Amino acid sequence: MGSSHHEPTFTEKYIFPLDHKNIGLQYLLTAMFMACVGGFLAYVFRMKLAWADAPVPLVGDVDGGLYNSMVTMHGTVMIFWVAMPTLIAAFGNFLIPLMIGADDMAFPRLNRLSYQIFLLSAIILIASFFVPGGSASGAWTFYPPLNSSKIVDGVVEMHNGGVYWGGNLWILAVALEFASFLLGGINFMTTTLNLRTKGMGLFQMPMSLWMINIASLVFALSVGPLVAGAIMMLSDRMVGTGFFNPELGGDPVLFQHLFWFFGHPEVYVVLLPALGFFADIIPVFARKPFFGYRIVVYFTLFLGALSFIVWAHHQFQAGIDPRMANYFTITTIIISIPFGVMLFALILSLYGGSIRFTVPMLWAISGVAEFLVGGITGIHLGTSASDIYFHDNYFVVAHFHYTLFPATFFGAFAAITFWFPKWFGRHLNEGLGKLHWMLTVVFFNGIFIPLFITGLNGQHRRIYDYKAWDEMNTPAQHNLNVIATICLLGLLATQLVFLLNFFRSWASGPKATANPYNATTLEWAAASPPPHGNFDKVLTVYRGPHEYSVPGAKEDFSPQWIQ
Amino acid sequence: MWGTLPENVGTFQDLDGLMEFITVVVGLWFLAAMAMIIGFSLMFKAKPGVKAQYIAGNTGKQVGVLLGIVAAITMFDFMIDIRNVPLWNTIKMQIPAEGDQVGVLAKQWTWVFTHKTKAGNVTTEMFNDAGEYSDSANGAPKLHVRTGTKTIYSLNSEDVLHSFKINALRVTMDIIPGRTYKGWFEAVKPGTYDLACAEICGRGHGDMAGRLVVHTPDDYDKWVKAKGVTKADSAPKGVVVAHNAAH
Amino acid sequence: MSALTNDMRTATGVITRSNTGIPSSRLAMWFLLGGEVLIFGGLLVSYMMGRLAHPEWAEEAHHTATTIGFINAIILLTSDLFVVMAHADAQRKDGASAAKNIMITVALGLAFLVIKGFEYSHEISAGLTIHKSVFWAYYYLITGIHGSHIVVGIIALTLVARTAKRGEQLQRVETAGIYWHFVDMVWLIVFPLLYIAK
Repeated sequence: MGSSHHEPTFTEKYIFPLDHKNIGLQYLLTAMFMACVGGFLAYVFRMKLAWADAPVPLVGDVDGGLYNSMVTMHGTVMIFWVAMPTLIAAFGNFLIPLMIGADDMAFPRLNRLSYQIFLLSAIILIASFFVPGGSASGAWTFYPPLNSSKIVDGVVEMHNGGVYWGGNLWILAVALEFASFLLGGINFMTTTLNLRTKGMGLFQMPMSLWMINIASLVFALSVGPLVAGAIMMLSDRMVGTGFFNPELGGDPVLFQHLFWFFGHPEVYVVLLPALGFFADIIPVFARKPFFGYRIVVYFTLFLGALSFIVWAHHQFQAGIDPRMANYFTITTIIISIPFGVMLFALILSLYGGSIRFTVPMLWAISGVAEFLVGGITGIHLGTSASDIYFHDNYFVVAHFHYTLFPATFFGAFAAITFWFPKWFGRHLNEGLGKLHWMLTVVFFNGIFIPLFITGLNGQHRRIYDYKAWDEMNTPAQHNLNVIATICLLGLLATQLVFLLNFFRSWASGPKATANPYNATTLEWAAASPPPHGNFDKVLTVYRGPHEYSVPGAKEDFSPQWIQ
Repeated sequence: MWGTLPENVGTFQDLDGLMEFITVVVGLWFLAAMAMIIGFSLMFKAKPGVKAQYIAGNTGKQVGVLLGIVAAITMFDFMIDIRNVPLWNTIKMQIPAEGDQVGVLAKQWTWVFTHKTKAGNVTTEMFNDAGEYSDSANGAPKLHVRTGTKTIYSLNSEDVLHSFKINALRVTMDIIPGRTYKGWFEAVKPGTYDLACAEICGRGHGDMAGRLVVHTPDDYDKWVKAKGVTKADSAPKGVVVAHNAAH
Repeated sequence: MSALTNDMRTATGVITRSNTGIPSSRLAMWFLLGGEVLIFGGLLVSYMMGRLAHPEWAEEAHHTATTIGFINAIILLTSDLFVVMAHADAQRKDGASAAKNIMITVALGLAFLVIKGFEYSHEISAGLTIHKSVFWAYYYLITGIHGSHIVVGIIALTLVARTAKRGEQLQRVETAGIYWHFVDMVWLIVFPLLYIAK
């Protein structure tokens, strides 16, 4: 690396880039592709749930095995290959160096390697659809012994059946994805800690950076036991050891602990960056500071710590010691405190503002509101006694979609629409953006409000056809399922509006200036799009990230980099 | 909960009360938060000439607002916890000593119920040893219990994880191979109710249905006398049976 | 430009900065080891829970070769000494001496692997295979994962020695050294758990 940056060639820019912005773009485009895959999987099983007796168009007959496979892969793809790469990897890469006033990541080549491992993991995951026996079908939680045994077509044959490659490839792909995000997260944290420009103290950082870094730390510290669990699982499957096989002296519940020790913090790994985006976007369009910046940071750190001691609430009904459930109920319910602080801080940030309802602002405000639904319904599930009824129930499905969907999609759409002018130097179409927002909100709620009701009625999860249960096989239940499916079709179709807007504006949208929103954080000091090397001079930071409408200031925004 | 839950035919009635209580508490928070979101959005829409107020949430009073919210949430959390613990302990920890004993064996993808009765063990399952339907309702094996007597079940699995779920009784308990878990319930209203596997267990998870048959004490005695051998109980019919019969 | 700090490259020049005062490579290594601690932690805690639940594993543990494990512990502790010396050399900018000490460390690491290999083959021929019981599954998995870390360490150290010999990238000596210390320390936890606790 010399003292100046030459403009990269096409290969350097798009195929093997070192520039953080282009690596971020690779993550973003890969995740958008995987989102289409995950959406298609949802289409398959929702069609089956609405019209169990008809073949699914484009797919054909869906039996129990294929249904399980679709459900399993939908969860896996959406969490590991859509939510994480979009929220953490794509925007972490794009934003971290820009927001701290650096020219790139601390380790650009490690960064490139992280993406390449991620791409490889995605290819392996896609390949697993096409191996004999099909992809993994034992749910994204991958509980043993169903998933630790050699399985042929969903039938367990303990250690004397054929090889079930779908599951092996699933483990391999997830393990590679973990490695990629571990390396990526280390890079993010090191960059944030070490490459901040002059004057950029930790408490001058935009909320997005706090959240992405706390998420990366939580990920790095929680994934280890599951890596161990994955190795043990692979050994059980391929070598025939019995870590999780009770017949051989192993313990299937052990894997549940290893999984959820990671699995619960993982939820926050996805949620936090989205809340960070909301916290940085709302002040821009409310023209006032983010409410309670320091308090929210402290409570987020508290939340990160808390996330390590709540995991067994996923196992209340799995035969853990009932006394332990009382302890985990109390820790779980305490989660409502930091989340309450964060959400009310976001809401109070609107108070006294001068609010402009731009597309990113609409995503941010509605994202907070939708996430609120997910948050409060978590109390029903975190309370051990009421979880007796809700365990493995569609109420759970609706609950976690109300947390993860706003985080992943509302968060990503807010971020994409907000930083699009910076990233691509062009503006998105406002009208198409608002149409896309409105339809997405309507259809999203149209899917999951009915699922809350079917859950309350008692509909249990991961069932391809409810005819075997008289209480579930009623016209009322069926109608709710049909409504949810129709709204899913609407939701999928709506995303075409986004894709059209995204690619058309990328090619030919109106040109953006360096700071089109009159925003205050450092990324807006760079040109749009930022050149290789980002800034034309070393910036100095003079104040916090959200200084809008400062009394006595001439303008209603006081950028961090202007004295 | 206001008509959305199926009728609770067991003695765990307080569970519905807890769920309603939680819903009311979180519902109030939800309404308050939504009112603020919508209210602020309307009140503080950008108007020409009106500048935003500089409120950073860092003065003592403003921090106090957030800490007040923390205190309020903590209080409601505590109220939920103190209602939850005794209920949970009753259902999961205080298993009665006296009652009808039933063994529940789960396997891919059906149930075998063994009832310990005065007349000896009565087993109901999909197929008997001769491969004939021994007990089925719409292809589902039946668990027989009676009102007025507690039922103590013990759960075992032959292969993978399953879960024993009866919505009408508010009962759920996972079944782990290699372990035996015990639980209990008491049904109060005679009838036939759904029983499901609530942990994904392979291709036929969606076929793993069962039925709970709650008898009056008299009917139960009659059923015991007939020893539950019910070839004529109902003819196999429908997709579900065909699926199970396939393996 | 000191190689021990970060260079920030801008169009107007190069400035050197490290906000925390810790070189980025060392900071990143600490984060990586934080993750590694949790991987081994997950394995070892799983093993210990299993051990508590299965008193009969004590019988199995009788068959692990304590002496060999102890010799290997001594070998790794000795190698740590040479890593420390290599680090001191690197701080004196004596790349050639650092490379020599690293290669001694590598040789000791190889000796560890050879001895471990003999131990495995001895155990396998005695019927103590990975399939014998869950105890042995843990034994092979934990020592195997540890061994794979030794292999990675050997490769990393060899690469570091090559650049250090030319007096380049001397900060890598420290980074690789931290990793090697960690891997050795894991053995000092694994050894008592698998070999001594009979």
